[in-house]
Amino acid sequence: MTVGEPRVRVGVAEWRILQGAGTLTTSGLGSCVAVAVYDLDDAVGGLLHAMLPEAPDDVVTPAKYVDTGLRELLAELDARGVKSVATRAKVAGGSAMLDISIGDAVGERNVDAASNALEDADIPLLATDTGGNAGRSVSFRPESGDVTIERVGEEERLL
Amino acid sequence: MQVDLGALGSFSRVGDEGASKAVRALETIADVHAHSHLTRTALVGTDAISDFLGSSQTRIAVPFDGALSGRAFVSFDATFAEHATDRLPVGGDPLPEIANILTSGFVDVWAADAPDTIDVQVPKRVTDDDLVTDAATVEDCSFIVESHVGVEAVDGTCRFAVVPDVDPFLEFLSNGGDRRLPIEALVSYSRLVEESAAGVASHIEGMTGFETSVAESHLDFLPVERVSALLDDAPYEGAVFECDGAMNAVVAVLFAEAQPGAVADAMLPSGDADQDVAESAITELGNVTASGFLDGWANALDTTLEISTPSHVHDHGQAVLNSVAATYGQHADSVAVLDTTVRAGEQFTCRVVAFPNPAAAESVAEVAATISEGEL
Repeated sequence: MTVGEPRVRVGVAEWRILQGAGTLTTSGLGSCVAVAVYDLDDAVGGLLHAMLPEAPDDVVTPAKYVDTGLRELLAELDARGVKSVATRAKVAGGSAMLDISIGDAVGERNVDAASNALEDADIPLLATDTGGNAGRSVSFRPESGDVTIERVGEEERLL
Repeated sequence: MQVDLGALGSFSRVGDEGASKAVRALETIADVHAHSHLTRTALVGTDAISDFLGSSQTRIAVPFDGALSGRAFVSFDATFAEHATDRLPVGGDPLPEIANILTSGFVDVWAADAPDTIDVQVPKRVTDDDLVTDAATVEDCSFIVESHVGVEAVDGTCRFAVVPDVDPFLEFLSNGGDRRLPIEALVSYSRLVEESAAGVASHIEGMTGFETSVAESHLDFLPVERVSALLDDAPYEGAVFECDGAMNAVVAVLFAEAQPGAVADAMLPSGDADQDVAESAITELGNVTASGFLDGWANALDTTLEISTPSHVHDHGQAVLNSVAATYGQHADSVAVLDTTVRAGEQFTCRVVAFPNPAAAESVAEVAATISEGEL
């Protein structure tokens, strides 16, 4: 990161957009997924940190869910004039960290939901780092489309 | 007086919206990027409130009244206070002004659905002695709605807390929900969380020989998406258990080490253990810690609680909590969490985060009622 560039944190069930130089970051990805969408022509992108795959009909927090969160993020990018035809995506997260009986593969369902939602929106999914049993933190530079994955005790991975 | 657990969760959710609105207002006024990363409603013993709000040399109180009355406290850590003066162009004395902006944004969302307005008064600096009034306590406990606010380019954190007067708060919450219980029962439950923390401290001290102290222990209600923010963005090692029986819960015992290997070294004084042995030792300490936490509950409920085989974890603590919260998030928008922090000298900190299963919707209420009856 260059000194002076914005570094904007994205919480769980949130999305943020950044134009130009700078980084969007999110941490604590277990079964959650991070979906990075960007347009290199306009050097703009957004990062969604979603917790569950599909929203209920009476959704209160759209960004908590992959389907409604991505829809909301893409609508905002569209409102800012981003050309959908030039938009690309990368996805990280969706692990199965805990060997306990509760839960039914939320991580895997989140990844599938992200893949399906991007396909429905005709946005190419260029790279993924999903599944496994480790947590992840993500840094995303919309200007370049670079997504950096950090795991405890491992080397960083660049998508 | 009765309190509805569902309404407490909803209050936290609305508070979370208020926190988001408050930081957006701060972003607009100060032209910065800001975020809120934890909003919860906690029931805290009055003697533990200053610890709950974090050590701070600068606390600003913002009284409010109307549909909801009480006081907001904005606590700035030293770094944030120092940086804010230089870097947050909000006009005037920045800290009271930030307190005012956050409080106004926060209470607006509650006022939106209230039959009356909520009037925010002039901020003023206060000391820890000023934190609670008689109106804000019930059975020596207070409800605190808290949010952590961070600002890009300003190091440190400011903690925003609302301490509502109890009677108007419970009146505000009364929505005829079906998870109501006497406030005394919820206080009994909360007291047992504190006693469990003492059990954790005692068991860790017995196993490691380190002097331990309970830093925090309380019952929180929070939106599922805010659960992970209970921990900082750091690696933790420990174990996760499922507890079944009269109390159905997931219990995460997570250790944050001052130096890598501090926990294993305490358990294995010979110091030359391989990784598998070290993991086993940490899992064993997790097991003992979970037992220390749950023994009080089993005694109070006069039953036994079955604990599953531990699942060892060494990962981002937030990711661990998020994975549990996501699972429970399929059944509930908000959850109750038993949140305990125990320090073992300067070697490590132990966080015990227990999640009563919200799919058993009445479990906290039922357990609280049982405990309360046992005290009669």
